[in-house]
Amino acid sequence: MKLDVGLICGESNGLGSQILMRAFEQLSTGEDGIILLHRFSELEEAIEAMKKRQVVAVVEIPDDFDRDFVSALLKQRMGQDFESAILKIHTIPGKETSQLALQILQSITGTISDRMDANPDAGVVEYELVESSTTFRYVDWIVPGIVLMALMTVGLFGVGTTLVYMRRKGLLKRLRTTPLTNAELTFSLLASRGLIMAMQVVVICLYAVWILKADRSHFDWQFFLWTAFSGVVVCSMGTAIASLVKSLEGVEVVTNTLNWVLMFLSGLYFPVFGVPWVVRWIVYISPITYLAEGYRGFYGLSLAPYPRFLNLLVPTLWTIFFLVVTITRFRWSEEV
Amino acid sequence: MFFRDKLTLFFSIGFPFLFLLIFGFVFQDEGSVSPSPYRYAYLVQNGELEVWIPELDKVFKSKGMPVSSVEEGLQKLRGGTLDAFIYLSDSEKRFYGRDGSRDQPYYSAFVEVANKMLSTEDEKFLIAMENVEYRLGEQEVTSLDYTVTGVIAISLLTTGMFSAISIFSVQKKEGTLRRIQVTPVPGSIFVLSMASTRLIVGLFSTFVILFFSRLIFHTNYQIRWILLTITSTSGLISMLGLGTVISFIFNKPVAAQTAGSLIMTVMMFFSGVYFPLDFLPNFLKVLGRALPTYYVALAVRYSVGLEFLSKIGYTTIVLSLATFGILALTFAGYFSFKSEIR
Repeated sequence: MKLDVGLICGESNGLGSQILMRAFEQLSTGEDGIILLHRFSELEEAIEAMKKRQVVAVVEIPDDFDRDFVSALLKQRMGQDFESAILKIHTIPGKETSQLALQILQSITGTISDRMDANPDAGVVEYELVESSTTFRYVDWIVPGIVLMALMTVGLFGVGTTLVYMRRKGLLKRLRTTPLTNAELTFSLLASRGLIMAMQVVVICLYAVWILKADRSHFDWQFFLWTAFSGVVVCSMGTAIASLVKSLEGVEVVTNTLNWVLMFLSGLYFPVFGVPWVVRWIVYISPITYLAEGYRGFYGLSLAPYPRFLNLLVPTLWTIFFLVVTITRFRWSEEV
Repeated sequence: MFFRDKLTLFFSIGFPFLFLLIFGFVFQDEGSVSPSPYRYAYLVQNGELEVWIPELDKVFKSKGMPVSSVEEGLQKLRGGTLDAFIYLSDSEKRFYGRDGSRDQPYYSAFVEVANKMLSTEDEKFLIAMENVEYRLGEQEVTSLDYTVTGVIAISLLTTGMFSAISIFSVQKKEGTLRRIQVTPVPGSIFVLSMASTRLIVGLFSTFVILFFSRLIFHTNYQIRWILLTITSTSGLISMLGLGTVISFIFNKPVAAQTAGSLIMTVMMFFSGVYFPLDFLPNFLKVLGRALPTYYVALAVRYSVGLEFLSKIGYTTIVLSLATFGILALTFAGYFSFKSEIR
């Protein structure tokens, strides 16, 4: 991600401007660069570009910036009180990218000030990065979420909706008149879904490793065993829905609702353990939350604030519940 | 017929409302740094400094764990059981972060906030930022205000697209279109009446979302009602057209609904309605700007006073959307009816 930021620096070429430009260059070069600078000669032109969404923010280095910066620096070194040099950042309030650019630029000015400070004040916070045994990479964190999204889609729509559709069309009833037993029918349906899930997981894993450069070592036996367990959980969810919801229209509504709610409130794409309790209860009762954190827990990427054993316990309890509902409530034909 | 069709009713009214609630509650807390807690430990040498701990608990969204020594804190940090360790004494304040956590969502933001909070009030920087804000109106704007406009754009998408799929694919399969053709009602009148009812529902859905977002999340808009009505109408017509085209391409109802769901997913994630396009790689930005939902969301934001658009730009957007929708409804609808005559 690179944020397009406009820059107005006029004739400024003093110490302060040079330090700023060097800091901006560091932020904009290379693969890790996070800003892309666009120079403008006039402020109005830059603001128009911001309004037209060509840049997310505009940095204006005023004409008197260098003079004020040098003055502040000298006074600071002499231990005197000083007025900070002002750097103007033009933003659009409420726009996420604009506010993000503001935060990044604010951190630059703080860093510059810290580095130029010859006599660190006791009130200043020393910040130190400690090397850790594990490294968090977002791509490794999100891949389990993508896998679970794929599994969930098959479980809800491929099992739940399909079973109701087959029942509505009388297909299940007709299949039962054949020599196939109920167990064979059930197994074949779930096996076909399992095959689809397996193909999905393989494609996602290959894409993650080759294109997204995810850590290969994460795709080990634990990953695939957990995937099989997750498949069982979501398929049992699908059969339970098919047992409880009789109409085709109703099952579409239920599966779509569950799909979107669980997708966003099970931490598949971003952590949600700190959301308000109005919706946080959904996070904690959803089995998908624990399945996602189960994956991440294997590789030290879990951000869950609860004990790890819950990642196995909660989905297992839900699976037992879904299977009980299926066994007691599933009907092979629509009742007259 | 509309209210008996549960799926269309869901996608027209229930689904957008559901999204409003999910995104509203997840992202409403602008004062918070992150929607997730971070684990931290602390060592405080002076009892008076413990006043910082409740404030740090708020920043990290979790209860801090006291440790007995700096080595213990650093060991836990290195081992990955903590995200940060803070040491406070009379003479120094140290904030230890984890090198391996830098890519964690929002990590750098919360480090920044925690650092600032611990700094003394009279610490001065050589360079100070003056933030100059540009607003379209007088109201205070938050990121949730932007998100709700995305909800409205998706609401128009789901109402229009799935309604058209329901009529031209599902109802067609069930023989409803053929039965209508034996009546004196021309196909064009049928399409017009279908579009009109969806238009009323789409406008109703838009106003319901605005009402509840104001009631629950206190969103703040300077709504230009005429522009909003025009935007919603053209957006809805374009999505009805899109749904008609999908139904024309995919004969089977299940295939059409699946294609519709896929297109909806792509539009939701890649047209900048919920996540800014700037966060995406360049090639996906190009894709996003090619999607109609991007322009619907832009026009909605302009109509509620959040976005800057020239009059020509806005007119081009609404006219283009409406033209596409009318053409698609006309041709695809005509061919859908014609195939029923055979």
